[in-house]
Amino acid sequence: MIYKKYGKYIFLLILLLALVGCNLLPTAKRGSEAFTGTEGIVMNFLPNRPPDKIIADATQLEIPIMIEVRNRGAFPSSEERAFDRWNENDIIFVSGFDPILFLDWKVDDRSEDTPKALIGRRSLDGKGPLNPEGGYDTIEFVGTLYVDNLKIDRFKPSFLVTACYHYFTRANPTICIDPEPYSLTGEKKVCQVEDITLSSQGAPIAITKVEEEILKESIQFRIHFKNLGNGEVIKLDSLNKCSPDSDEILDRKDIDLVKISNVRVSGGSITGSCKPTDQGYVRLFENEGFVICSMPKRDDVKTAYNTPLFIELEYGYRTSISKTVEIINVPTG
Amino acid sequence: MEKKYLIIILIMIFLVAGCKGGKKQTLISDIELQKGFDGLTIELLKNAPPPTIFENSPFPVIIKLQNKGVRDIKKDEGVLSIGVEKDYVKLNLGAFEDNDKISSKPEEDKVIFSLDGKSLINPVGEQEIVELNLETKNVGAQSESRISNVFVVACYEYGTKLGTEICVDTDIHNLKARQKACNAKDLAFSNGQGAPVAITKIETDMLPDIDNNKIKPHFIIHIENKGNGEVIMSGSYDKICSEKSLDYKEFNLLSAKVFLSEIELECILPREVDGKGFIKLKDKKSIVRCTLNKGIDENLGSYIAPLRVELSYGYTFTVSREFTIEKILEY
Repeated sequence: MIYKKYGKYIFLLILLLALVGCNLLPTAKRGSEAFTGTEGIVMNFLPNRPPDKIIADATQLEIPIMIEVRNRGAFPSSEERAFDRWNENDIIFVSGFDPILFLDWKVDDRSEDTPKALIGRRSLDGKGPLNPEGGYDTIEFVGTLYVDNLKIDRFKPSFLVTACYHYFTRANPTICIDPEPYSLTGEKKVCQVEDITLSSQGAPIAITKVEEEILKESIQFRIHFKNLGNGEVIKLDSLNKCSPDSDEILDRKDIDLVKISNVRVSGGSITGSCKPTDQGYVRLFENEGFVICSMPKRDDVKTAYNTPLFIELEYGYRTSISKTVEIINVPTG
Repeated sequence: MEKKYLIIILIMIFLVAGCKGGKKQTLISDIELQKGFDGLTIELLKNAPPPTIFENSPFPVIIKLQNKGVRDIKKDEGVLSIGVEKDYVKLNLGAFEDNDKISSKPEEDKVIFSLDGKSLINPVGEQEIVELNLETKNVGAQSESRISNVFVVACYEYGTKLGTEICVDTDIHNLKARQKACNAKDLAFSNGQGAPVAITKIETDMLPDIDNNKIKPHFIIHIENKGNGEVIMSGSYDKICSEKSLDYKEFNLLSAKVFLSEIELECILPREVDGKGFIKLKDKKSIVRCTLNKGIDENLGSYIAPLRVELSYGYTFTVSREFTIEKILEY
C-alpha cells in the first residue's frame, strides 16, 4: 500500500541520488579549466538581426546587424598583467556591402564613417577563475539603404562581420632538467626527461608538445604549436592593416606568422636563443610550426630537478561570420 | 472503457494539432513576375472565324489579346494589322467606342491597343477581346468554294529588364590576404525575364587598371530571342505593321543599357542607326559587352552589387486562321 502511494516519490529520490553520485549534475568549473579551449573571440548573429528577408516599403530602409561577441579564450588575463589589454588594432567591423547603396552607418546608435567597433571598449576579458565563461557583449551595426537607389526587384547583399585582434597563448608546463641523463651510477632521480604533450591553453593557437634533448653543453627544447581555431593567423606588426580604414592591405607574407614573445626556464629568459625565427617570428606551415630554444647547462647542478618552462606566443588573429539578406522592392501605392 | 475513449481523444487532438491542412498561401513578396519568355499573345477564338462560311455572309473574328510579359504596352505602342484576301473578304472595322484600351484605324485596317503587363495585383497580365466583323464576297462563277485566310500581325514596343546581384571582386586572383564576402562568377538565367527576348547568361570579368590601382568590372551579356516572332528596331512597330516598304536593317536590332549600383556602364553597341547604337541579333542570338570604365578602387574589399540590364526593342509575330468560303448552290 505504501509503495503504491509513495512509489513515484521514492523513485525520484533514488534517481536524484544516482545523478549526484555519478556527477551527472552540472558543477561549478574549477579555475584551471578556464585555461583550456581553442577559441578566442567568437561571434554570432542574433536572431533576425539582420532578418532573412526585408520588404523595402519606405524610402529609407535601416538594416540592423546585431552580433553577440564572446571571449572564449584566456586573454586578456584578469590578473594584474599591465600589458594584458586590448589596443586600438583590436576591432570588429562589417564589410562586403555595396558602399554606394549602404550609407549612414551607426554603431550602437553612434554615427560612424565606417561600421567598426573597438574590442577594447567592450566587456571582453578572458576566462579566469572569477569569470570562467569569459567576457560577453553585443554590438549593433545599422546601415541605411536609400531605396530610390535600388531599381531592381530583388537584391541579396551579404554582410561580412570580421574580428581582427591580437592574442596570447601561454603555457607553463613542468619539465625535468637532468644534466646527466645517461649516468652510470644508477642513482635515484626525482624525474625523468621526457617529451611533454599539452592540450589547449585557452587560445586559438595551442602549444601541443615540448620535446627536450640534453646535449653536452646545453639543453634544447623543441616547442611545437598549431593553429586549432577556425580563423587565420596574422603577423602582429601587420594587424593594423586588417582595418577597413587602413591605407595598406594585408599581404600573403603577413599571414601565418607567430611571434615567440617569451620563453623562460627557471625564471631566466632564453627567448633570444630560439630558432628558426625571422625577427622573432616563426611561420606556420599547414597550420603548424615549431621553434628550438636552448639553455646552457649549469655547472653547479649535477642532479635532476623539476622546473617550470614558461612559453608565451603572441599573434594577430582574424575570424569572420557572414549573412545574406534578401531585400524585396515592393512598389507601394 | 473510459480510458479507451480518453486515449482516442488524445490521439485525435495530436493529429488535429499536427495537421497543417489547406493550401499554403503564397505571400505577395514571393511572387516572381520576371520569368517566362512570353510577351504579347494572340489567340483566335474557336469558331471565330468558323471553319466554313457561305459567300456574301458576315462572320466574326474574335481575337484574345493578353500581355503575358512584365512590360506594359503603353498607349499607341501596340498595333494589330488585319490581313484578308480583299477580293473575297471585306473587313468592317468598327470604332471600339467605350474602350480606352482599344481603338482602330479603319483606313489602314489597323487596331491600336495598349495592355498592362504582369504585376503583383495582376500576375497573369491584362487581357482584351477584340471583335472584328468581316463579310465574305462572291467566290466566283467557276468555283464552288474557296479556301481563304485571315492574318493578324501584331507589332508592339517591348523591353526586357533583368535585376540581379553580382560580386565586385577587387582581388580576383586571391593575391591579397583579405576576407572576401563573395567571389566573381558567371551567372546563368534559364527561366527568362517575362519577355520574348531573354538574357541567358552574364559573364563577369574584373579587368585590372594597374596604373590607377583600380579594377574595371566588365560584363558579357548573352541575349537570345526566345519568342515565336521577330525582333524589330524600337519605334518601328507602326512601320512594320503597315504597307510601307521595309528595310532588312530594321529587323533584329535592339538597344541596351546596363547599370552597376545604378551607375550606367559603357556598352559597345556596334550597329549605328540615326546616331544611336544597337545590337544586331544573328540566328536569334547576340552578346553585348559593357564596362565600368571609371573603375573601382582595388583597396576596397569585395562586395555584392546590384546589376540592372534593360533591353529595348519592338516585336512582331503573326497568327492566322484558315476558313472555307462556300458557294450557296441554288438548284
